[in-house]
Amino acid sequence: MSAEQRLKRRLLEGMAEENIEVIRNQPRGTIRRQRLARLQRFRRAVVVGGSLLAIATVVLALSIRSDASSDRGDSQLTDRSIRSFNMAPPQPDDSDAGGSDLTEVINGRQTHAIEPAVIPLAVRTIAIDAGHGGTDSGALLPRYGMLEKDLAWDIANRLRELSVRHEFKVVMTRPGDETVALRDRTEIANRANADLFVSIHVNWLPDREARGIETYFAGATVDPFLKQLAAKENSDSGFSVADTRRLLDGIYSGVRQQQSQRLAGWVGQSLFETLRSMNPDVVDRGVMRAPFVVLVATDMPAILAEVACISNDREARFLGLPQYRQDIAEALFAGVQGYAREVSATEEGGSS
Amino acid sequence: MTEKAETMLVGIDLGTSQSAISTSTGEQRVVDSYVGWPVDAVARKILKKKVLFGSDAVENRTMLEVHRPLERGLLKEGSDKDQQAIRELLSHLLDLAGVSALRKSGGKVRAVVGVPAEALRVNKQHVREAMRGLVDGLIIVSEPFAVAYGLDALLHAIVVDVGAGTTDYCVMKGRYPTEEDQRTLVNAGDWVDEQLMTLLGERHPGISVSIHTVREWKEAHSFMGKPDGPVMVSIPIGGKPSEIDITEEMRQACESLGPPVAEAMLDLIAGVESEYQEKVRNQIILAGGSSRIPGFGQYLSSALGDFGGGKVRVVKDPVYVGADGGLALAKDAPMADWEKLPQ
Repeated sequence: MSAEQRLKRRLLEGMAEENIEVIRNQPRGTIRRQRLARLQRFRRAVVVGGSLLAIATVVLALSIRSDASSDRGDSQLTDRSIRSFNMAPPQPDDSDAGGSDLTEVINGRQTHAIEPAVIPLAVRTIAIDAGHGGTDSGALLPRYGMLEKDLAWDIANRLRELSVRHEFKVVMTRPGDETVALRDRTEIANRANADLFVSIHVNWLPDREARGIETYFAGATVDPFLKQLAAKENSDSGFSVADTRRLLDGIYSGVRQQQSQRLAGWVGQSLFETLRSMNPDVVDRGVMRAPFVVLVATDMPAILAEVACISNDREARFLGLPQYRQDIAEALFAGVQGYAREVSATEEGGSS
Repeated sequence: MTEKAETMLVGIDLGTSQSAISTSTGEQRVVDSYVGWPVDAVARKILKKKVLFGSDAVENRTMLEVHRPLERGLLKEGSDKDQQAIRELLSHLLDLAGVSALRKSGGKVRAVVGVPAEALRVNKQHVREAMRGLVDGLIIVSEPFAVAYGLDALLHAIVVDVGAGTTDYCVMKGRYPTEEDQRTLVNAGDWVDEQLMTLLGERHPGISVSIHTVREWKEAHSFMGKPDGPVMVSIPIGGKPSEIDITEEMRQACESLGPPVAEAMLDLIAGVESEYQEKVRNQIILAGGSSRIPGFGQYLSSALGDFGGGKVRVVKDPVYVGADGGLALAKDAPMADWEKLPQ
């Protein structure tokens, strides 16, 4: 094969790998890294296998020498040792090489994203993100002395208590009334390998009559208001221009987006069902997609809940009631629990 | 029939302004990337078509809901109609090249589609979705990579593909290009149109001209440097037809494309290992529809002056160079590299 043909082959391999990674929604370079890891494993196996063979050969040689039962000279023994040592190492399993990925795709086995329901999973760690904090107060309602950051923190703590009581591990993305950049919040959740991310916010809408609950998951939006809201919530995110591409790809990360939508559905419904017993006027403003940074940059199913509307006088007064905030926390928890049950499919008996 | 006889390979260059296809049977077709649906029953009756494409759509735009589904080289989002338009466009292109007929007779078709260098995954997925059911195998590649491959510029070369929506770069380093080897700018042909429109509006406040007309003027009279002669156009100003000289506006609009394109090119070359930079500087390929602007190649050559000089080669056939590159990739790609789209 000429140098040009080898170069072309390398380019075509790269082209195929990139296509497969896009189909599988894997980060760029995943297949190459996997192949290198396999190669390293193979090399280690060769080294270990070779060492064992060498040891065995030496032991055998010593045993033959000590027996002194034949008339073969040392040089012949050495030849035999060398022959043993030069035995061909086990060949790598071709079925595990990069080509098999391609074959799977060709055969249509990899053309669809894996449905997570086929793999029962447990939700163990919940990342709770109390919106705003520190110098960033979020929405304000001076008349009642309310700040969004305090309300979010209060509800987040209530949710933490409920979660811990039910044996979930909890990671809080801010330790108290401190300013934590959105980037840091997502990194805290990602580093902790959290299974879910729940961001708690309180809404403020220009229309003072507007009220209710909104639940978001990551995705693009054409709604100018949501674009504006996302831009506002994303300000001082801590991400740089260089992160833009990763963030944009994160918006559309297939299975995670679907799971986030499901989680948002569970939480939104739970909030509405729970809160309307105390607040009959509560409105379910729906499950929506928006490019909030905390939803885009997290690695796990993630939602942002606007649990009430502080700009609506009636809801603001409800928010002032500890019982209402407890109801919100319980509703959030019930939603999380519903989703957790769905993905684990244990209590439903849906999968075996 | 043998496998070769019943399988057609195609390369497609999906562009903002024009989309082109080249097939292994020697067909080449190009269509302006416009799709239009008659606005009502009357329009449908007059036009006698359910959907119109390319120049047909532009000419009859007053009776149509016209979509240009690719914006800045990427599929627009948020509109089902744009999604439908891109599928219609691809389907039409495949029809023109005889692909659909072949599939109906049981033949197989495998396509390599070129998209902008830094197209997001979501855009690639949209293209994949749009091609579902239209072909039997699909590979999506960055457009300038397809150009480089088609021209055998595989090592120590840089492709500058100046299209309508985007300018795409790809440095060929002997490996499949990574993100650091590629770049996409939104300064391209459409941007020149907008500049020209603005400059004309500033000079003639009463001007009434559509972006389509401005685009036609640019395609007919664009230049960088010295013009061949004055650029005169006929235009209604304040409702009165007038003949005006737009030479200076045309020069300014076209030359406004030079600095950003040159700057990004130099930046990418600077990222190449120093021992290979000279080789890359001497193998610069200027492609894309906007490479036809007279003087563009010389502009880029002169921009290299302070950096040791270099050679800019303007491709001979910017319309089909991307599609031909895609076809070359399709021909060379082993069977195992093809993804079979679910039908």
